[in-house]
Amino acid sequence: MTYDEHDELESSVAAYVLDAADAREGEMARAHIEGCAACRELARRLTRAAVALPLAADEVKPPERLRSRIMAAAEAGPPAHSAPVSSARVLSMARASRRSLDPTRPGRGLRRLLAAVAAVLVLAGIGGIGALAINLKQQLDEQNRRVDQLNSDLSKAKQVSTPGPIYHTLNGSGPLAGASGAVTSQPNNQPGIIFDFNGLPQLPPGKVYEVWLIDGNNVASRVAVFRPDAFGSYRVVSNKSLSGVKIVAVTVENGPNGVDKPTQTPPLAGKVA
Amino acid sequence: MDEGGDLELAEGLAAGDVEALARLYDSYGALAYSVALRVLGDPGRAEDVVQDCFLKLWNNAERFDARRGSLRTWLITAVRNRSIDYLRGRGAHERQEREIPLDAEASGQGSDPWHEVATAIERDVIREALASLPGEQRQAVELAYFGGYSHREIAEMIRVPLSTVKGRMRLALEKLHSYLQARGLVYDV
Repeated sequence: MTYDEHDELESSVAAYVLDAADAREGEMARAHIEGCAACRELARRLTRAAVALPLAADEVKPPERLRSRIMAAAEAGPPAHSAPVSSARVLSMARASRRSLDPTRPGRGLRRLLAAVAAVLVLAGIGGIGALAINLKQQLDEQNRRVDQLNSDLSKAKQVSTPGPIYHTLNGSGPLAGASGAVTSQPNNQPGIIFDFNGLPQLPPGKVYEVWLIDGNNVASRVAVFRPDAFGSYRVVSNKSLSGVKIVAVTVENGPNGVDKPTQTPPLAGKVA
Repeated sequence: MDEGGDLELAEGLAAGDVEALARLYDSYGALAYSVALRVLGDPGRAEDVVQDCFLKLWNNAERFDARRGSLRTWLITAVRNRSIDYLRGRGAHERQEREIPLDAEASGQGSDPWHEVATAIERDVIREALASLPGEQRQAVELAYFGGYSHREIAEMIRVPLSTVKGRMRLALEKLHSYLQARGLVYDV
Protein backbone atom coordinates (compact mmCIF):
# COMPACT_ATOMS: atom_id res chain seq x y z
CA MET A 1 0.00 0.00 0.00
CA THR A 2 1.35 3.40 -0.93
CA TYR A 3 1.48 6.37 1.37
CA ASP A 4 -1.29 8.03 -0.65
CA GLU A 5 -3.53 4.96 -0.45
CA HIS A 6 -3.09 4.85 3.29
CA ASP A 7 -3.92 8.54 3.61
CA GLU A 8 -7.01 8.10 1.50
CA LEU A 9 -8.25 5.26 3.70
CA GLU A 10 -7.30 7.11 6.86
CA SER A 11 -9.34 10.09 5.72
CA SER A 12 -12.44 7.87 5.67
CA VAL A 13 -12.09 6.64 9.24
CA ALA A 14 -14.12 9.46 10.79
CA ALA A 15 -16.93 9.00 8.27
CA TYR A 16 -16.82 5.25 8.94
CA VAL A 17 -17.10 5.83 12.68
CA LEU A 18 -20.06 8.15 12.10
CA ASP A 19 -21.68 5.61 9.76
CA ALA A 20 -21.47 8.27 7.06
CA ALA A 21 -19.27 6.48 4.56
CA ASP A 22 -20.76 4.85 1.49
CA ALA A 23 -21.15 1.08 1.75
CA ARG A 24 -18.09 0.28 -0.37
CA GLU A 25 -15.93 2.94 1.20
CA GLY A 26 -17.06 1.89 4.66
CA GLU A 27 -16.15 -1.72 3.94
CA MET A 28 -12.73 -0.65 2.67
CA ALA A 29 -12.21 1.47 5.77
CA ARG A 30 -13.26 -1.40 8.02
CA ALA A 31 -10.87 -3.79 6.34
CA HIS A 32 -8.06 -1.26 6.53
CA ILE A 33 -8.68 -0.52 10.20
CA GLU A 34 -8.38 -4.22 11.01
CA GLY A 35 -4.91 -4.36 9.52
CA CYS A 36 -3.50 -0.92 10.36
CA ALA A 37 -2.58 -0.29 13.97
CA ALA A 38 -2.46 3.50 13.55
CA CYS A 39 -5.90 3.68 11.98
CA ARG A 40 -7.29 1.22 14.51
CA GLU A 41 -6.17 3.55 17.27
CA LEU A 42 -7.63 6.51 15.39
CA ALA A 43 -10.95 4.69 15.02
CA ARG A 44 -10.94 3.79 18.69
CA ARG A 45 -10.31 7.41 19.67
CA LEU A 46 -12.95 8.83 17.35
CA THR A 47 -15.47 6.19 18.41
CA ARG A 48 -15.04 7.24 22.03
CA ALA A 49 -16.18 10.68 20.99
CA ALA A 50 -18.95 9.46 18.72
CA VAL A 51 -20.60 7.29 21.39
CA ALA A 52 -21.05 10.42 23.51
CA LEU A 53 -23.03 12.24 20.82
CA PRO A 54 -26.47 10.81 21.74
CA LEU A 55 -26.32 12.73 25.00
CA ALA A 56 -26.41 15.94 22.99
CA ALA A 57 -30.02 15.22 22.07
CA ASP A 58 -32.58 17.25 23.99
CA GLU A 59 -34.12 15.05 26.63
CA VAL A 60 -37.73 14.30 25.87
CA LYS A 61 -39.83 12.25 28.24
CA PRO A 62 -41.37 9.33 26.36
CA PRO A 63 -45.11 8.72 26.67
CA GLU A 64 -46.08 6.41 29.51
CA ARG A 65 -47.55 3.95 27.06
CA LEU A 66 -44.11 3.16 25.66
CA ARG A 67 -43.00 1.55 28.90
CA SER A 68 -46.28 -0.36 29.02
CA ARG A 69 -45.86 -1.52 25.43
CA ILE A 70 -42.36 -2.82 26.04
CA MET A 71 -43.22 -4.51 29.31
CA ALA A 72 -46.39 -6.06 27.86
CA ALA A 73 -44.48 -7.46 24.92
CA ALA A 74 -41.78 -8.83 27.24
CA GLU A 75 -44.23 -10.23 29.75
CA ALA A 76 -46.20 -11.91 26.99
CA GLY A 77 -43.39 -14.42 26.92
CA PRO A 78 -39.91 -14.95 28.31
CA PRO A 79 -36.86 -14.38 26.10
CA ALA A 80 -36.75 -16.78 23.17
CA HIS A 81 -33.54 -18.35 24.43
CA SER A 82 -34.93 -19.40 27.78
CA ALA A 83 -38.28 -20.97 26.96
CA PRO A 84 -40.68 -21.76 24.14
CA VAL A 85 -42.62 -18.90 22.66
CA SER A 86 -46.15 -18.31 23.93
CA SER A 87 -49.05 -17.71 21.58
CA ALA A 88 -49.33 -14.14 22.81
CA ARG A 89 -45.67 -13.74 22.08
CA VAL A 90 -46.25 -14.94 18.52
CA LEU A 91 -48.40 -11.86 17.99
CA SER A 92 -45.78 -9.65 19.56
CA MET A 93 -42.97 -11.21 17.55
CA ALA A 94 -44.94 -10.97 14.35
CA ARG A 95 -45.44 -7.29 14.96
CA ALA A 96 -41.84 -6.69 15.89
CA SER A 97 -40.71 -8.48 12.75
CA ARG A 98 -43.38 -7.34 10.39
CA ARG A 99 -40.92 -5.64 8.08
CA SER A 100 -39.12 -8.91 7.33
CA LEU A 101 -42.07 -10.67 5.75
CA ASP A 102 -41.34 -10.33 2.07
CA PRO A 103 -39.05 -13.03 0.63
CA THR A 104 -38.27 -10.99 -2.45
CA ARG A 105 -35.66 -8.29 -2.04
CA PRO A 106 -36.67 -4.87 -3.29
CA GLY A 107 -34.26 -2.31 -4.61
CA ARG A 108 -32.71 0.53 -2.67
CA GLY A 109 -34.02 3.83 -1.39
CA LEU A 110 -37.61 4.72 -2.01
CA ARG A 111 -38.51 1.35 -3.51
CA ARG A 112 -37.28 -0.34 -0.36
CA LEU A 113 -39.27 2.01 1.84
CA LEU A 114 -42.43 1.43 -0.19
CA ALA A 115 -41.86 -2.31 -0.09
CA ALA A 116 -41.52 -2.17 3.69
CA VAL A 117 -44.76 -0.22 3.98
CA ALA A 118 -46.46 -2.68 1.64
CA ALA A 119 -45.23 -5.60 3.73
CA VAL A 120 -46.71 -4.00 6.82
CA LEU A 121 -50.02 -3.55 5.06
CA VAL A 122 -50.10 -7.10 3.73
CA LEU A 123 -49.34 -8.58 7.11
CA ALA A 124 -52.10 -6.59 8.71
CA GLY A 125 -54.53 -7.71 6.08
CA ILE A 126 -55.06 -4.21 4.86
CA GLY A 127 -55.11 -3.38 1.18
CA GLY A 128 -54.14 -0.22 -0.52
CA ILE A 129 -50.97 1.59 -1.47
CA GLY A 130 -49.76 5.01 -2.40
CA ALA A 131 -51.33 8.04 -0.83
CA LEU A 132 -53.24 5.96 1.68
CA ALA A 133 -50.10 4.29 2.96
CA ILE A 134 -49.20 6.83 5.60
CA ASN A 135 -52.73 7.00 6.92
CA LEU A 136 -52.99 3.22 6.98
CA LYS A 137 -49.62 2.95 8.70
CA GLN A 138 -50.94 5.24 11.41
CA GLN A 139 -54.01 3.06 11.72
CA LEU A 140 -51.82 0.00 11.91
CA ASP A 141 -49.72 1.57 14.64
CA GLU A 142 -52.89 2.23 16.56
CA GLN A 143 -53.97 -1.37 16.01
CA ASN A 144 -50.59 -2.54 17.25
CA ARG A 145 -51.05 -0.53 20.41
CA ARG A 146 -54.44 -2.11 20.90
CA VAL A 147 -52.94 -5.56 20.33
CA ASP A 148 -50.30 -4.74 22.95
CA GLN A 149 -53.05 -3.92 25.38
CA LEU A 150 -54.91 -7.09 24.46
CA ASN A 151 -51.74 -9.13 24.92
CA SER A 152 -51.29 -7.62 28.34
CA ASP A 153 -54.89 -8.29 29.29
CA LEU A 154 -54.72 -11.81 27.93
CA SER A 155 -51.54 -12.49 29.81
CA LYS A 156 -53.05 -11.25 33.04
CA ALA A 157 -56.21 -13.23 32.55
CA LYS A 158 -54.17 -16.32 31.60
CA GLN A 159 -56.64 -17.23 28.92
CA VAL A 160 -55.66 -20.43 27.16
CA SER A 161 -58.89 -21.31 25.43
CA THR A 162 -57.40 -21.88 21.96
CA PRO A 163 -54.73 -24.35 20.85
CA GLY A 164 -51.25 -22.96 21.26
CA PRO A 165 -48.59 -22.55 18.60
CA ILE A 166 -46.49 -25.47 17.45
CA TYR A 167 -42.72 -25.52 17.83
CA HIS A 168 -39.99 -27.21 15.86
CA THR A 169 -36.24 -26.89 16.02
CA LEU A 170 -33.59 -26.71 13.34
CA ASN A 171 -30.05 -27.97 13.89
CA GLY A 172 -26.92 -26.78 12.18
CA SER A 173 -24.19 -28.95 10.75
CA GLY A 174 -20.91 -28.48 8.92
CA PRO A 175 -20.17 -24.75 8.57
CA LEU A 176 -23.33 -23.96 10.57
CA ALA A 177 -22.62 -26.48 13.34
CA GLY A 178 -23.09 -23.81 15.99
CA ALA A 179 -26.32 -22.46 14.55
CA SER A 180 -29.86 -23.29 15.52
CA GLY A 181 -33.35 -22.37 14.49
CA ALA A 182 -36.79 -22.36 16.07
CA VAL A 183 -39.92 -22.57 13.98
CA THR A 184 -43.16 -21.41 15.53
CA SER A 185 -46.30 -22.07 13.53
CA GLN A 186 -49.98 -21.58 13.97
CA PRO A 187 -52.09 -24.56 15.04
CA ASN A 188 -54.01 -26.53 12.41
CA ASN A 189 -51.56 -25.43 9.70
CA GLN A 190 -53.01 -21.96 9.56
CA PRO A 191 -50.89 -19.39 7.73
CA GLY A 192 -48.27 -17.71 9.84
CA ILE A 193 -44.80 -18.98 10.66
CA ILE A 194 -42.02 -17.40 12.68
CA PHE A 195 -38.47 -18.55 12.12
CA ASP A 196 -35.89 -17.60 14.74
CA PHE A 197 -32.27 -18.19 13.86
CA ASN A 198 -29.35 -17.94 16.23
CA GLY A 199 -25.62 -18.57 16.17
CA LEU A 200 -25.30 -17.94 12.46
CA PRO A 201 -21.83 -17.04 11.18
CA GLN A 202 -21.50 -13.72 9.40
CA LEU A 203 -21.53 -14.12 5.64
CA PRO A 204 -19.01 -12.86 3.12
CA PRO A 205 -20.16 -9.98 0.91
CA GLY A 206 -22.62 -11.05 -1.75
CA LYS A 207 -23.94 -14.06 0.14
CA VAL A 208 -27.28 -14.47 1.92
CA TYR A 209 -29.04 -17.09 3.95
CA GLU A 210 -32.13 -18.44 2.22
CA VAL A 211 -35.00 -20.15 4.05
CA TRP A 212 -36.86 -23.01 2.37
CA LEU A 213 -39.96 -25.12 2.96
CA ILE A 214 -39.48 -28.59 1.48
CA ASP A 215 -42.49 -30.82 0.87
CA GLY A 216 -42.82 -34.60 0.77
CA ASN A 217 -41.74 -34.67 -2.87
CA ASN A 218 -38.54 -32.80 -2.02
CA VAL A 219 -39.77 -29.69 -3.79
CA ALA A 220 -38.39 -26.58 -2.12
CA SER A 221 -40.26 -23.29 -2.01
CA ARG A 222 -38.60 -20.05 -1.00
CA VAL A 223 -39.53 -18.22 2.17
CA ALA A 224 -36.99 -15.43 2.63
CA VAL A 225 -33.42 -14.33 2.25
CA PHE A 226 -31.55 -12.49 4.97
CA ARG A 227 -28.23 -11.60 6.52
CA PRO A 228 -27.99 -12.05 10.28
CA ASP A 229 -27.50 -9.20 12.69
CA ALA A 230 -24.36 -8.61 14.73
CA PHE A 231 -25.49 -11.28 17.18
CA GLY A 232 -25.74 -13.89 14.44
CA SER A 233 -29.50 -13.81 14.85
CA TYR A 234 -32.41 -13.09 12.59
CA ARG A 235 -36.15 -13.49 12.70
CA VAL A 236 -38.32 -14.12 9.67
CA VAL A 237 -42.08 -13.83 9.74
CA SER A 238 -43.92 -15.50 6.89
CA ASN A 239 -47.57 -15.71 5.95
CA LYS A 240 -47.03 -19.20 4.54
CA SER A 241 -48.25 -22.32 6.31
CA LEU A 242 -46.55 -25.61 7.13
CA SER A 243 -49.31 -27.61 5.44
CA GLY A 244 -47.62 -30.36 3.41
CA VAL A 245 -44.18 -29.22 4.51
CA LYS A 246 -41.77 -31.93 5.63
CA ILE A 247 -38.56 -30.02 6.24
CA VAL A 248 -37.56 -26.43 6.95
CA ALA A 249 -34.07 -25.70 5.70
CA VAL A 250 -31.57 -22.87 5.36
CA THR A 251 -28.85 -22.65 2.73
CA VAL A 252 -26.19 -20.11 1.85
CA GLU A 253 -26.85 -18.64 -1.56
CA ASN A 254 -25.79 -15.77 -3.77
CA GLY A 255 -27.31 -12.42 -2.82
CA PRO A 256 -28.98 -10.16 -2.79
CA ASN A 257 -32.08 -12.01 -4.04
CA GLY A 258 -31.13 -15.63 -3.42
CA VAL A 259 -31.93 -18.40 -5.87
CA ASP A 260 -34.99 -20.36 -6.96
CA LYS A 261 -33.69 -23.75 -5.85
CA PRO A 262 -31.23 -24.70 -3.13
CA THR A 263 -27.72 -25.14 -4.48
CA GLN A 264 -26.33 -27.05 -1.52
CA THR A 265 -27.28 -29.61 1.06
CA PRO A 266 -28.88 -27.47 3.77
CA PRO A 267 -26.41 -26.93 6.61
CA LEU A 268 -29.30 -25.92 8.89
CA ALA A 269 -32.51 -27.96 8.77
CA GLY A 270 -35.18 -29.72 10.77
CA LYS A 271 -38.20 -31.92 10.24
CA VAL A 272 -41.57 -30.33 10.87
CA ALA A 273 -43.76 -33.30 9.92
CA MET B 1 -25.16 2.87 36.21
CA ASP B 2 -21.71 1.38 36.75
CA GLU B 3 -20.18 -1.69 35.20
CA GLY B 4 -21.33 -3.87 38.06
CA GLY B 5 -24.85 -2.56 37.64
CA ASP B 6 -24.71 -3.33 33.95
CA LEU B 7 -23.47 -6.83 34.67
CA GLU B 8 -26.26 -7.43 37.15
CA LEU B 9 -28.83 -6.05 34.75
CA ALA B 10 -27.49 -8.14 31.89
CA GLU B 11 -27.65 -11.26 34.05
CA GLY B 12 -31.22 -10.41 35.01
CA LEU B 13 -32.18 -9.90 31.38
CA ALA B 14 -30.54 -13.16 30.36
CA ALA B 15 -32.49 -14.94 33.09
CA GLY B 16 -35.74 -13.56 31.72
CA ASP B 17 -36.32 -11.26 34.69
CA VAL B 18 -38.82 -8.63 33.53
CA GLU B 19 -37.88 -6.48 36.53
CA ALA B 20 -34.41 -6.15 35.01
CA LEU B 21 -36.00 -4.98 31.79
CA ALA B 22 -38.08 -2.47 33.72
CA ARG B 23 -34.96 -1.13 35.43
CA LEU B 24 -33.18 -0.94 32.10
CA TYR B 25 -36.06 1.05 30.65
CA ASP B 26 -36.25 3.32 33.67
CA SER B 27 -32.52 4.01 33.33
CA TYR B 28 -32.24 4.48 29.59
CA GLY B 29 -35.75 4.71 28.14
CA ALA B 30 -35.86 8.49 28.11
CA LEU B 31 -32.41 8.76 26.55
CA ALA B 32 -33.27 6.16 23.93
CA TYR B 33 -36.52 7.92 23.06
CA SER B 34 -34.81 11.30 22.94
CA VAL B 35 -32.23 10.02 20.46
CA ALA B 36 -34.84 8.32 18.28
CA LEU B 37 -36.99 11.43 18.29
CA ARG B 38 -34.03 13.66 17.47
CA VAL B 39 -33.19 11.51 14.46
CA LEU B 40 -36.70 10.72 13.25
CA GLY B 41 -38.70 13.75 14.32
CA ASP B 42 -41.72 11.46 14.55
CA PRO B 43 -42.95 10.41 18.00
CA GLY B 44 -44.76 7.31 16.71
CA ARG B 45 -41.75 6.01 14.84
CA ALA B 46 -39.50 6.88 17.72
CA GLU B 47 -41.63 4.70 19.98
CA ASP B 48 -41.45 1.83 17.49
CA VAL B 49 -37.68 2.05 17.28
CA VAL B 50 -37.21 2.18 21.04
CA GLN B 51 -39.52 -0.79 21.53
CA ASP B 52 -37.71 -2.79 18.84
CA CYS B 53 -34.34 -2.13 20.42
CA PHE B 54 -35.36 -2.93 23.98
CA LEU B 55 -36.99 -6.15 22.87
CA LYS B 56 -33.98 -7.07 20.79
CA LEU B 57 -31.77 -6.68 23.82
CA TRP B 58 -34.31 -8.62 25.88
CA ASN B 59 -34.33 -11.46 23.37
CA ASN B 60 -30.55 -11.58 22.99
CA ALA B 61 -29.40 -10.66 26.46
CA GLU B 62 -27.56 -13.91 27.03
CA ARG B 63 -25.11 -12.89 24.34
CA PHE B 64 -24.44 -9.42 25.72
CA ASP B 65 -20.87 -9.13 26.97
CA ALA B 66 -20.57 -6.34 29.53
CA ARG B 67 -16.78 -6.40 29.17
CA ARG B 68 -17.08 -5.11 25.61
CA GLY B 69 -19.12 -2.04 26.40
CA SER B 70 -22.01 -0.90 28.50
CA LEU B 71 -25.67 -1.70 28.04
CA ARG B 72 -26.27 2.00 27.53
CA THR B 73 -23.80 2.23 24.69
CA TRP B 74 -25.18 -0.87 23.01
CA LEU B 75 -28.75 0.24 23.41
CA ILE B 76 -28.34 3.85 22.37
CA THR B 77 -26.15 2.92 19.41
CA ALA B 78 -28.80 0.43 18.33
CA VAL B 79 -31.52 3.07 18.67
CA ARG B 80 -29.55 5.58 16.63
CA ASN B 81 -28.70 3.02 13.95
CA ARG B 82 -32.23 1.69 13.71
CA SER B 83 -33.55 5.24 13.46
CA ILE B 84 -31.16 6.00 10.63
CA ASP B 85 -32.24 2.79 8.93
CA TYR B 86 -35.80 4.07 9.08
CA LEU B 87 -34.71 7.37 7.57
CA ARG B 88 -32.76 5.68 4.82
CA GLY B 89 -35.55 3.22 4.16
CA ARG B 90 -33.43 0.17 4.66
CA GLY B 91 -33.97 -2.90 6.76
CA ALA B 92 -32.00 -3.36 9.90
CA HIS B 93 -30.73 -6.64 8.48
CA GLU B 94 -28.70 -4.72 5.93
CA ARG B 95 -26.59 -3.11 8.57
CA GLN B 96 -23.34 -4.75 9.46
CA GLU B 97 -23.10 -3.60 13.05
CA ARG B 98 -19.71 -2.65 14.30
CA GLU B 99 -18.62 -3.72 17.70
CA ILE B 100 -18.02 -0.93 20.11
CA PRO B 101 -14.36 -0.99 21.04
CA LEU B 102 -13.35 -1.66 24.59
CA ASP B 103 -13.49 1.43 26.77
CA ALA B 104 -15.68 3.21 24.28
CA GLU B 105 -18.13 4.09 26.98
CA ALA B 106 -18.09 7.45 28.66
CA SER B 107 -17.21 6.87 32.27
CA GLY B 108 -19.01 9.68 34.01
CA GLN B 109 -21.75 7.53 35.43
CA GLY B 110 -22.39 7.05 39.05
CA SER B 111 -24.21 4.31 40.83
CA ASP B 112 -27.98 4.06 40.58
CA PRO B 113 -29.02 6.84 43.00
CA TRP B 114 -26.88 9.29 41.07
CA HIS B 115 -27.70 8.03 37.64
CA GLU B 116 -29.90 10.93 36.57
CA VAL B 117 -27.58 13.51 38.03
CA ALA B 118 -24.57 11.90 36.39
CA THR B 119 -26.36 11.74 33.06
CA ALA B 120 -27.32 15.40 33.32
CA ILE B 121 -23.70 16.33 34.00
CA GLU B 122 -22.54 14.28 31.04
CA ARG B 123 -25.18 15.88 28.88
CA ASP B 124 -24.02 19.37 29.83
CA VAL B 125 -20.39 18.57 29.15
CA ILE B 126 -21.12 17.00 25.79
CA ARG B 127 -23.22 19.97 24.75
CA GLU B 128 -20.43 22.29 25.82
CA ALA B 129 -18.02 20.20 23.80
CA LEU B 130 -20.19 20.40 20.70
CA ALA B 131 -20.74 24.12 21.20
CA SER B 132 -16.99 24.63 21.38
CA LEU B 133 -16.52 23.27 17.86
CA PRO B 134 -16.34 25.57 14.87
CA GLY B 135 -19.80 25.72 13.29
CA GLU B 136 -18.85 23.86 10.11
CA GLN B 137 -17.34 20.98 12.08
CA ARG B 138 -20.34 20.70 14.37
CA GLN B 139 -22.62 20.80 11.35
CA ALA B 140 -20.78 17.94 9.64
CA VAL B 141 -20.98 15.71 12.70
CA GLU B 142 -24.60 16.49 13.49
CA LEU B 143 -25.76 16.00 9.91
CA ALA B 144 -24.05 12.62 9.84
CA TYR B 145 -24.93 11.37 13.30
CA PHE B 146 -28.43 12.72 13.80
CA GLY B 147 -29.40 13.37 10.19
CA GLY B 148 -28.17 10.09 8.78
CA TYR B 149 -26.52 11.83 5.83
CA SER B 150 -23.49 10.34 4.16
CA HIS B 151 -20.39 12.46 3.77
CA ARG B 152 -21.10 12.73 0.03
CA GLU B 153 -24.61 13.96 0.69
CA ILE B 154 -23.29 16.50 3.15
CA ALA B 155 -20.66 17.67 0.65
CA GLU B 156 -23.36 18.19 -1.97
CA MET B 157 -25.70 19.83 0.49
CA ILE B 158 -23.26 22.42 1.72
CA ARG B 159 -21.32 22.60 -1.56
CA VAL B 160 -17.85 21.84 -0.39
CA PRO B 161 -15.41 19.15 -1.56
CA LEU B 162 -15.83 15.68 -0.10
CA SER B 163 -12.33 15.85 1.32
CA THR B 164 -13.33 18.97 3.24
CA VAL B 165 -16.27 17.18 4.85
CA LYS B 166 -14.06 14.23 5.76
CA GLY B 167 -11.56 16.58 7.33
CA ARG B 168 -14.23 18.40 9.30
CA MET B 169 -15.63 15.14 10.63
CA ARG B 170 -12.23 13.99 11.79
CA LEU B 171 -11.30 17.29 13.36
CA ALA B 172 -14.65 17.47 15.13
CA LEU B 173 -14.35 14.01 16.63
CA GLU B 174 -10.72 14.55 17.60
CA LYS B 175 -11.64 17.76 19.40
CA LEU B 176 -14.64 16.16 21.08
CA HIS B 177 -12.46 13.32 22.27
CA SER B 178 -9.89 15.72 23.71
CA TYR B 179 -12.59 17.84 25.36
CA LEU B 180 -14.30 14.86 26.97
CA GLN B 181 -11.04 13.24 27.96
CA ALA B 182 -9.90 16.40 29.68
CA ARG B 183 -13.07 16.31 31.77
CA GLY B 184 -12.75 12.67 32.70
CA LEU B 185 -15.57 11.49 30.50
CA VAL B 186 -13.49 9.19 28.34
CA TYR B 187 -11.05 6.57 29.51
CA ASP B 188 -7.93 5.88 27.61
CA VAL B 189 -6.51 2.38 27.35
